[in-house]
Amino acid sequence: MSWFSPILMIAVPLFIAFLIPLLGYIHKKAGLYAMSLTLLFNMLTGFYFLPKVMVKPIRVIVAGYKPPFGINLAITPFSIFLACLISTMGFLVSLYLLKDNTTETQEKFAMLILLVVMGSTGIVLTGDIFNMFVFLEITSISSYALTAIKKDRKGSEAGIKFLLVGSISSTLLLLGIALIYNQLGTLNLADIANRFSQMNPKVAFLAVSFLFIGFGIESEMFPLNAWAPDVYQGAPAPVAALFSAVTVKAGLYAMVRFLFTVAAKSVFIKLLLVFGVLTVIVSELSALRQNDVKRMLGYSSLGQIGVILFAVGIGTADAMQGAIFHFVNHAVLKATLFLSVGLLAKAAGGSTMEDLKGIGKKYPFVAGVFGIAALGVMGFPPLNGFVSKMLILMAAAKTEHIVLIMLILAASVIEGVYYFRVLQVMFKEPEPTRIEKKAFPVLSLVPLVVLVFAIIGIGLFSGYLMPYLKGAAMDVMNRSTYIAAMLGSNGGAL
Amino acid sequence: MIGPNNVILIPILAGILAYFLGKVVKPAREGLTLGSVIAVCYLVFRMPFDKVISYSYSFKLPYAFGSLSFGTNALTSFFAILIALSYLFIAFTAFALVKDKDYHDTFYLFFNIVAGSLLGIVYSRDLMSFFIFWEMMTWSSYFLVIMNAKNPRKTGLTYIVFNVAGAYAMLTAMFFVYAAAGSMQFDKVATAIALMPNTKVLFVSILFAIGFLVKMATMPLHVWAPDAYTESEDSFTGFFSGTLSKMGVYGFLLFFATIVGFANLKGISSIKDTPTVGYVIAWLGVITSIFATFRAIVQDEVKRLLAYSSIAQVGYIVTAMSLGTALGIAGGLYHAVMHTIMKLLLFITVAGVIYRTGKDRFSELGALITRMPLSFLAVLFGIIGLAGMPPFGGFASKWVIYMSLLKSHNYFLLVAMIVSSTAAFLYCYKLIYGIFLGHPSSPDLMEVKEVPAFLWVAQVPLMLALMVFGMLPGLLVPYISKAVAALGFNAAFNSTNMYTLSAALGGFNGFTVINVLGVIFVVVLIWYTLFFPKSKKLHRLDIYYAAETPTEETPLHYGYGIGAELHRIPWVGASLRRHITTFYEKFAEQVNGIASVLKDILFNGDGQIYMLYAVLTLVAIIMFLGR
Repeated sequence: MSWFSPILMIAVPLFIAFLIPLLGYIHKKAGLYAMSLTLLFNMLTGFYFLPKVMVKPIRVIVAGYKPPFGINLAITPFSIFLACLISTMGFLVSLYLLKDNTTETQEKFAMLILLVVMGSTGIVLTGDIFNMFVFLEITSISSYALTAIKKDRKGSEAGIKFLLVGSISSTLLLLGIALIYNQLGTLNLADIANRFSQMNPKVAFLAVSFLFIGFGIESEMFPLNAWAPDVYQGAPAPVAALFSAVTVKAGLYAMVRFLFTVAAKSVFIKLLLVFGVLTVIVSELSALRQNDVKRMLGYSSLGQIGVILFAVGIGTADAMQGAIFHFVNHAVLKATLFLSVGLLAKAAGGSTMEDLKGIGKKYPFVAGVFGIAALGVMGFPPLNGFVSKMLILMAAAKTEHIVLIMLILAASVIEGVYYFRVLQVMFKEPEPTRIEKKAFPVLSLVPLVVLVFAIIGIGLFSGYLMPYLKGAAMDVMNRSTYIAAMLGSNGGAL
Repeated sequence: MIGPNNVILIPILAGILAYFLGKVVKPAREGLTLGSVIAVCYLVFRMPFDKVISYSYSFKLPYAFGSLSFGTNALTSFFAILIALSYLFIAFTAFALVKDKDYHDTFYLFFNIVAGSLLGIVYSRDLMSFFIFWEMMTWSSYFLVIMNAKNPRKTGLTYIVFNVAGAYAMLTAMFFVYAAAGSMQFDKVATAIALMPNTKVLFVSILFAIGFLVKMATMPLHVWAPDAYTESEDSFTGFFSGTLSKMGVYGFLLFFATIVGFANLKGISSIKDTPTVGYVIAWLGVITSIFATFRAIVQDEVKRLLAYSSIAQVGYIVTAMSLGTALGIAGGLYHAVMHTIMKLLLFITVAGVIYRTGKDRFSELGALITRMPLSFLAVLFGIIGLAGMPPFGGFASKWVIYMSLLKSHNYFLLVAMIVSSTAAFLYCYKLIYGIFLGHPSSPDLMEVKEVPAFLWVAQVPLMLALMVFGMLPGLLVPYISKAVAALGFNAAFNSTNMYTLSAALGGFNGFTVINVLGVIFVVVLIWYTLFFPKSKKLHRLDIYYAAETPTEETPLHYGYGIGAELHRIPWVGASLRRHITTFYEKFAEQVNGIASVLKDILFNGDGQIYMLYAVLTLVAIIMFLGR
């Protein structure tokens, strides 16, 4: 089946995305179903290739130009693992959207979501730095549009801020790539990695700094993440879920791939450690005083990203394994939180604490799902957040970062305060009388059920994930195998 | 054979199943809980008491955790039995009291999970599983605390912040020793700690101690306890104060006696032949008991009085254990058992009284003795135990503690403890007088019925236990000796039969004591029945007043006023007016202030500033790293 290649994970969604406006003429809902089916296809393709790539990385050559000359896809364990995560989360969110969005913007919605997932998949699969930039741009521009899709004040304002900061990111990325191209004359990631030491050290440093900030903005690192809470609050809940589960992961992938595989600059990796801890502390403290639950979740999401950055910054294989595990858990947990709050907020008419008072008594199932996910985010056993947090902190302990561990745990206590406050507001306040109980559409509940099973299941049986995590972590840590697989004869086509 | 790991799973699975099955068939909740209680009791008792067994259990957890290991030895069995029996009694209480409440479903879910996690704590043989179950206990008990709370926001948040912070202090220490040992197994960790430099050992010990002292509600980390004990669901409070607090005791013993070793700590620095850390904690314990006792006396809420009393009693245990002598630990374990029995008995009875009357303050109760004779007897037994008086069990345990203080020449600690135990008489008296004696505060109190029959199942065995342990104080000795031996100490007692309890400084024969007192009691009883005619039945308003007639609203019950005079005693009054809570509130305010400032300055909503951040960060990186 030589035609069945991972490139379909990019090509099919792109094709369908452009087809969606036309499908709208056939049936009003056709676009949405096309989106879901495409994402399902993506997911299945991802899982089809996952075990194969774990054994041997795949190099997909486009248009017959062999690397380092042509654009190629570099499908290594880390990238296919994330591609699976991204398409799965995308699929679940799309299921939620099938019944959620009843406005006339649903074609745009479907198209943009496909583009975001496609762009993110592209980022993790590509083996070419300029290609990566292009996919990042596709993702970002679709994200701006998605943020502002509701055409209300909050959404538009957040969209503008996102655009402003995002443009800085693109500029810096482009500059950094230009500097590298100027020095090495190549855009292939493996080729750059191979010859990175040949660069003029000063130029190399400047290029890495530019790319560090550029990717830092995409991966929501403090202090470059100030736009993010606005976006999480302003965007519709499923979009916020998509951002925290999909786009951030792509940004983080770009950061990790560049710093570990391409540049291998230990200074910048250490810098991630500092920025990670700062991100955790600042975000958790800021979340403490939020009155809007969606915004609070946004800050909390930043806090989790901080933990991931911290883990990446430790720079050992164990820590990387924990970090990649936390990628998965954060995606699952935050998607659950945003989706359940989305449902509750729609029923209650708003997402502030005031609106959500006593909502748990009205909708015990959805609020219960929120509660389980909140316990997971706080890292209570036996849920999934606990396992990855423990792995990360254990890796940190092995490298003697005791002070940083204490700071992160202190921030976790604060996290406990605001999550338990929400739970208490939801479940302990008297049942609101102004809300009439309506059943939620079943299709919106399906993703929540799947996600809750994932939260508990991953927590209890994390051992089944470990081989994949180990493979992905090894892929990040051993840059020479990556280079060999992509440039040499070692890596094959299909 | 069904190992400890499976025993843990029984209540947890039963709880989850009860929740879902209970949605269909309501009585399934009680049925499954009962089944789980019986299974747990059977399995726990069937496990050989002092045999060292270990199991390892793999949940397919990541390699870094290894597999979770579980096991049992004498200390574990000792606490497991305590947990299993409390689980049994509290389950019966809940059957009667929770059935009409709207949280009927969630109560059995969380209650069973708590019971399972307590068993998990004692059966775990590595730090990771210990922590997992510790955290499970924290979150599941949180829901039971706020379930029926009047002020869930404050109570719940204080509870969770202190307990999570304590757990994280412990976790930090865990990581510290993990970094040195490369493993989480208790024995490997112990070996690694023996090789650690002194300052690190001290650091680790203090962090662990914080975690356990929070659970034992020792001052100044006790702030969460009065509210949480008072406001938690009534039928659960006995478990909460009687058994959950004992997990702190267990962890403390486990860590200080087996993992670090008191000898090791003593080698670092010692005061009066006691490790400095232990000495400081001993004083914390005794100070806790003094202050908490005074606080208990002035309370008007019944459960809050018991809450403070619980804090005070656990303070004795803390003091006794932290001396690190065989006798001290034996005394601590003995008192742990007695305190669990007494607090279960008292809280269960009070829960029944509140259930029947709907009132939870001394000022609203009174004169229930004729309506609730069994509960009166239960409280009477309980307070005799609390006061540490013969002939009941509380005497023996306190006696061992006093002896351990005497033997280690800590006379000031002993004096302070006697001050607190004497003051405890006051709250004991207030407890029984305020509820059962004096005048009824309202007419409807004369209509109430005895507590539900399910509660008798708990009350009667607990009363019997107090009596039996008073009569046969040597009964527990072999078990305590085995538990103490499991911690690596020599025998503390030299009793040979079950009638006497004797140790280094002397002994007493409980059987004689109870017989003598019993004879005196019977003589007095006969004397009163013969020479004093039976009192006349009066209406509650048949009372002499100076020139005014009391109405139904006039407060006639003065039992609740007991303790008001404490405010006028110079030092005590001052201590009652000061609360450590203020300090924590100030601290929380500061954190909130920082949070607000951060939120407003950093995330001020101005997109241009956000762009500036990016540029400034770039500049900073280039400036600092570019050289």
